[in-house]
Amino acid sequence: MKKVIALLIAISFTFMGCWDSIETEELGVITVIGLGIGKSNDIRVIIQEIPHEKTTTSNQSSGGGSKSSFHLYEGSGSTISEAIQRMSANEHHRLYYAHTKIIILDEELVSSKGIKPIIDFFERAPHIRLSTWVLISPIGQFDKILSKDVGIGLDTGQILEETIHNKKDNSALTITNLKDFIELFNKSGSEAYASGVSIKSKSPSDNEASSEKFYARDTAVFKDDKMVGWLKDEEYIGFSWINGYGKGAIVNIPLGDGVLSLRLVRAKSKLEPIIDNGTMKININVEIVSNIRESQVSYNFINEDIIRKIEELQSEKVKSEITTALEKSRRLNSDIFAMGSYFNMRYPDFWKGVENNWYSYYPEVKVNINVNSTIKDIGNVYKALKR
Amino acid sequence: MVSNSSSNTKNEHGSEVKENSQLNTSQEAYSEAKLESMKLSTSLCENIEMLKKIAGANADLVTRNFTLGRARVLSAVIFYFDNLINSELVDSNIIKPLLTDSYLSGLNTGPEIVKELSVGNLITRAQIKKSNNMKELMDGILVGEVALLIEGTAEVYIIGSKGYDHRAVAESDVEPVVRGPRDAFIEVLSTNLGLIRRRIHSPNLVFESLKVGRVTQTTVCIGYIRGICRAKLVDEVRQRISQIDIDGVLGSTYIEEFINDKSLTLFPKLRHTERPDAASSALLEGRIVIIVDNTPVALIIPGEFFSLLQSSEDHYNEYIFSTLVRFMRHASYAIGLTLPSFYIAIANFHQELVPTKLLVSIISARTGVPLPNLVEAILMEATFEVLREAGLRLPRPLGQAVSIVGALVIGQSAVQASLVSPLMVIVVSLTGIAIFAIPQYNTAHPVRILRFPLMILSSILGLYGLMLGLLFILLHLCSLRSYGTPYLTPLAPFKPRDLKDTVVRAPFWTFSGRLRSTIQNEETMSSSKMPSPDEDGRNN
Repeated sequence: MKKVIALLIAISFTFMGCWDSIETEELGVITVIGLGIGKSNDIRVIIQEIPHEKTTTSNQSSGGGSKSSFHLYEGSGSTISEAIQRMSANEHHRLYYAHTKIIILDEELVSSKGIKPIIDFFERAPHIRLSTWVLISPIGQFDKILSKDVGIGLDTGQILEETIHNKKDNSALTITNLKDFIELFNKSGSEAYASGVSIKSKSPSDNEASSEKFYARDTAVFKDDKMVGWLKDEEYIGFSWINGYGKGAIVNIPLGDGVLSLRLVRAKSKLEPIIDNGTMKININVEIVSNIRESQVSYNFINEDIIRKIEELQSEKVKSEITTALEKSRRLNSDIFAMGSYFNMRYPDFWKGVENNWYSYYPEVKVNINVNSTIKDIGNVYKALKR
Repeated sequence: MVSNSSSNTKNEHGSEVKENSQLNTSQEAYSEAKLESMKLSTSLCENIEMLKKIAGANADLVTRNFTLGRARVLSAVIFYFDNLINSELVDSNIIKPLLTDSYLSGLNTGPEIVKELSVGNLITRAQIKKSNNMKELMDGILVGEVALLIEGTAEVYIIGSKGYDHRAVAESDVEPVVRGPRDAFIEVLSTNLGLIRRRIHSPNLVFESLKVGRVTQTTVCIGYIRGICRAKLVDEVRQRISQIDIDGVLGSTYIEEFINDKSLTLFPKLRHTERPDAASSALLEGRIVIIVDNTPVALIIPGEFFSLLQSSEDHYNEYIFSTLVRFMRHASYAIGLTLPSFYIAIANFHQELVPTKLLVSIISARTGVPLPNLVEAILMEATFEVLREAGLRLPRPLGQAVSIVGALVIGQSAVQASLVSPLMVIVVSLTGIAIFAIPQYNTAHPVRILRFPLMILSSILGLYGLMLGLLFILLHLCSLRSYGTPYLTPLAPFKPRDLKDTVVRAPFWTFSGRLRSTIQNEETMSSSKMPSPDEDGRNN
């Protein structure tokens, strides 16, 4: 018994865990970190904290919707940590970053200063999770996105997180989290990309500020550590077939006098780099499985020939989408398809030779796209509708 | 005692000296050895004198003088304590045969009657024995027997005619069950033994009896089944009980503390029960049951950890349900032990482990609460313990008052006044309910005590401290033994066969032998297969 007590005391002194102890109510829970560019060309940090509200047992709710859903803190400095330190030194709460949901990067910052210092900061800091989403705000929207309370009682971090969860299953859009973002940036032969976020009114006719909401759309494309441009959603779809995030997307095929909607079940892609007499070729093999979701035409889908035709049309459509995305990436001169990394994996010796001026070779790489598409399910309607 | 002290005061006053000398009492104490050395003589007067010296001061000692025989009269006397005997039995079975029936059967002289008595006739009571020393005489009348002394005989007849007031066999309050027998032990030893014997009709069921307590001379019974229980264990228990040397045994805990292996532990090492069916099932599992006179609680030896988490109801309900109940019980044991300290660790150290929404609600619940988490938790848990103790000790009609005070004052007002956070109230009440789900009262004691050190540990070191504390508890449990059985059997040492009736409750037909593998005489049972209809699937 004495030994046990002595050991306990010894342990408690060695580790001195008390120092880490903090009462919960002293924390300021941060959900969004925004990084922008300051007036004197330094880094500007804006964070959102969830406000402390006392839960009252009585029924009388005070005030109603006048309360803001978050508090904003702002600071700037030549580095991120300096900005954060200056900011948190003046707060009565201990700012707590472990629950950060979203990192919003200003387009202005990432296209002029680059993401290298940002990535270093987030990778080094232990308290920010790698599962935090990274979003890019277009020029001029940074302040608005971070300061706007859309008035549904939630802070921006939670709204965006839930939007992203929803969006992941229902669209082809790829939202990168911090881990993917860092990995894409670090890997030799690939470039980083991140989804964009913007704030717009719900309908163009309604210009009232209260009806504005967030949209996760478009994809920011980086080259090295600088952002070089945007991939519009239409252009981006072709890319999503390749990175495998296309699940849930709808492919529309013009058929007869109407349109057929196919919903993607599975998309698998394989990139095969080939070096043939010093010329670089790449075979992109895409396998797509989808279901018929909606048909505006009266076809009898029991007929296998029709199915085969639809599959063919789908393959063509997908192929053209991939080509569009590829052309755009060549125009931006950014290898988001990570073709370089495939060459690196297959021909490491050869890659060493081209690594440093990969972008002089990149537009010349011959790309051969093969799409193999299958229709798995035609839905509950198997006969053509009469009228 | 009372009359002794009163005679003492009389003596001091000096006015009642005569009565004092008449009673012939003194403050002299009689040891067993001394009583044993006091032999009876043939003179009745001497014997009466001797007895009055020892017990004459007692108000409840009854002396009845009479004579035996019409011719050659012999005077005789019977002694008894009138609150320990059944007076009807004394009248009809002792006095009547001696005074009237003897003449009807033609015995007219005193010596004739004495002769008849000495061969065992006349008195119709079954329990009758002869003795020639004061010790056995006193022992007899002190447990409700009648002493018969006759002129000219240097022996005393000790005739059993016990009959005292006791509670009827009633339903168990402490260990209620839904299905299964309702009867519970009472304070009378013989009734308790009968309750068990009624369940196990076996010549191998043995109840050995020992007397413990210098003054109280309490009967302690060791019950076991020969051929199932290990003989070594019985020897050990018998030896340990016979070594006990104290003044009095007023409850089974007195015995428990004397025979425990290593008593510096919070964990109970034997099981208490007031249910004869639980005692019987323990006997069948090869355990020893110790029953102490005047205590309605039997001790079951050995009591390893998992047997302490069982309820006799487990064997009365269907096995799937019982298994789930056992899982739930183990979970509530864990919750009762760790929930408050887990909450403290999470709230003070590992805020990153909780979902954001939960963290926000913890924060808003704690906003405005003046006390740190640990102090709040300890205060609330202590309040709960006080309420619990108060509810237990209060006269029953006042029990309502405690629950009102507890629920309203602590539960609601304290939260409204921002003294405690509502989450803490939830944590504390969950802990309390989890502890109530532990079926045996004494099994919950270590949980009730240990959660406080665990709370302190986790407030110092977070989850790390909590794990450290739990590891210490685990190590401690591994080091314990209950009468030679490792405390954590069948988990450590691992006995997969015994898991069937500890962690889960397998159907009875899955046991190819007896329920526990540690018991003697392992024989396979012939019914160890799943019941199913005949081959053709038809029974009717």
